[in-house]
Amino acid sequence: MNAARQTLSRETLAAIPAVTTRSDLSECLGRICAEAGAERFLLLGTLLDHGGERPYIIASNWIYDTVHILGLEPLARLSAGQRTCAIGEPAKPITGDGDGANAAGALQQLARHGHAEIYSVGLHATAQRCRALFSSGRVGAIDSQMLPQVQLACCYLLSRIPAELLGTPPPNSLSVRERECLRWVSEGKTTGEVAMILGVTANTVNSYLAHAIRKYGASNRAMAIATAIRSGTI
Amino acid sequence: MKHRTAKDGPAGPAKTRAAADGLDVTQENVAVVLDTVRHARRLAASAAASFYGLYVETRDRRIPGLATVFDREFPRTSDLSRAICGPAGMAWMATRTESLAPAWWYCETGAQQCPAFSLVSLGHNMPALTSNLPGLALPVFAEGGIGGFFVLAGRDMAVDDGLVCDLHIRAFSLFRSVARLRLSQLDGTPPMSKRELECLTMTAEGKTSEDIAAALGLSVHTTNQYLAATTHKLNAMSRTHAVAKALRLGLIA
Repeated sequence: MNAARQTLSRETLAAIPAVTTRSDLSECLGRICAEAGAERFLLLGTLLDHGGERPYIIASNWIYDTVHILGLEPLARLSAGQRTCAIGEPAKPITGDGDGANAAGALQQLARHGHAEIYSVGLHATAQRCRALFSSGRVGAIDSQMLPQVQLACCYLLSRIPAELLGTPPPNSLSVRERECLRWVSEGKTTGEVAMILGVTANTVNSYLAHAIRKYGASNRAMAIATAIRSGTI
Repeated sequence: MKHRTAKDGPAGPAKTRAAADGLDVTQENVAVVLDTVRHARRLAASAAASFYGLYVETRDRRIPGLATVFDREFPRTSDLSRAICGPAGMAWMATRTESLAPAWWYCETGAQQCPAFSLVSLGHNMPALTSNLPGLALPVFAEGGIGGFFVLAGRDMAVDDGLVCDLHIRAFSLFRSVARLRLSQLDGTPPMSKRELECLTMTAEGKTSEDIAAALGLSVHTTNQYLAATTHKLNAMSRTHAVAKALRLGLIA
């Protein structure tokens, strides 16, 4: 690998703060990925919907047909199949090992559509969990040494875009009291204990929790707490 | 250098607080801790920073704040860290969103005298945490959504965008290794079986014991036993508590 290609160029990094819209985002992403040898990018977010999580595209330069043929859900599963690579961890391409038979099939299909090698990385930027898929038509074209930088640059980019533009619900749609109740319950407190801590009645605590469960479209407390922890609300 | 071990008594009020919130150095983890501190020192050196510190978000208090994991004066805590963990840090945390963008501050004597960040276009300016040193704060995250900051400061700091990226990536690794220590310290969790984790994951998805039993082909009684085992192993008060703990520990996704 060429030593001069180990870092993102100064011009590309300097372009990040100028990004304010989704089209800027796509353009800047394209530049960043190109520098690391990735032809295609797909940034996936997760919407918390009634009864579960629904993936959606934040930004992409994939040929839409490919997404359409494979389906967004299987792609999201593929990106989440392996343990998501956190920033600073060495990146490895998705192999489909241990991700079930579906993953291998999806990978074969992707290879036929010009995604010979795919990397999946986790992103921290909004309260939602986001992932990015980077791919290229030729195995070995992506400089895996550069992916941590690309990953970080993606996070910086997402930090530039207001959450509303990304189509995510505002991070703290719970009220302060609802969040407090959820947090205490997640610490193992019973309704009665939370009532005592907050100086309200047990009925009030239950009502706050019921609101939180409804807002998240969860079916019970455990699911509401899991959703809140995953989204970083508590 | 003498290191505090679990058996040593508190050596001062500042230390006791740091121990409660930050990092307890024990015989088991002393090697990792020293290694992490050494890495932090190297990181600071590459930015010509005279001060470095790692801070973790505190969740156990009602108001979000920061606690020192370690700083330049490890195993003691410096005044700057105390400022960061005090009201200044709380105000800082309150205004912070989930953004990963780095933030820097100039010293109050005027920007022109601190050319440190003139080459940085990434991130944003923030209120000074200390009046006499310019500095850079890098937000970091680890498994289970634990957040924190790696802070560098120094009169002679010289960074540009490329170096900020490089420092940030290394700060992430640093924070992860420490976060793992803190977690394993907080919970000496016994290993979980595959079935137990499956039941726990499904509980986090809002499934009832009956649902899980049907999906896994078990009896409801067995499912409840698995869940009771996880609750016991995680030293949790309830199933819900067990789910929360498992998520924060990164046992389930």
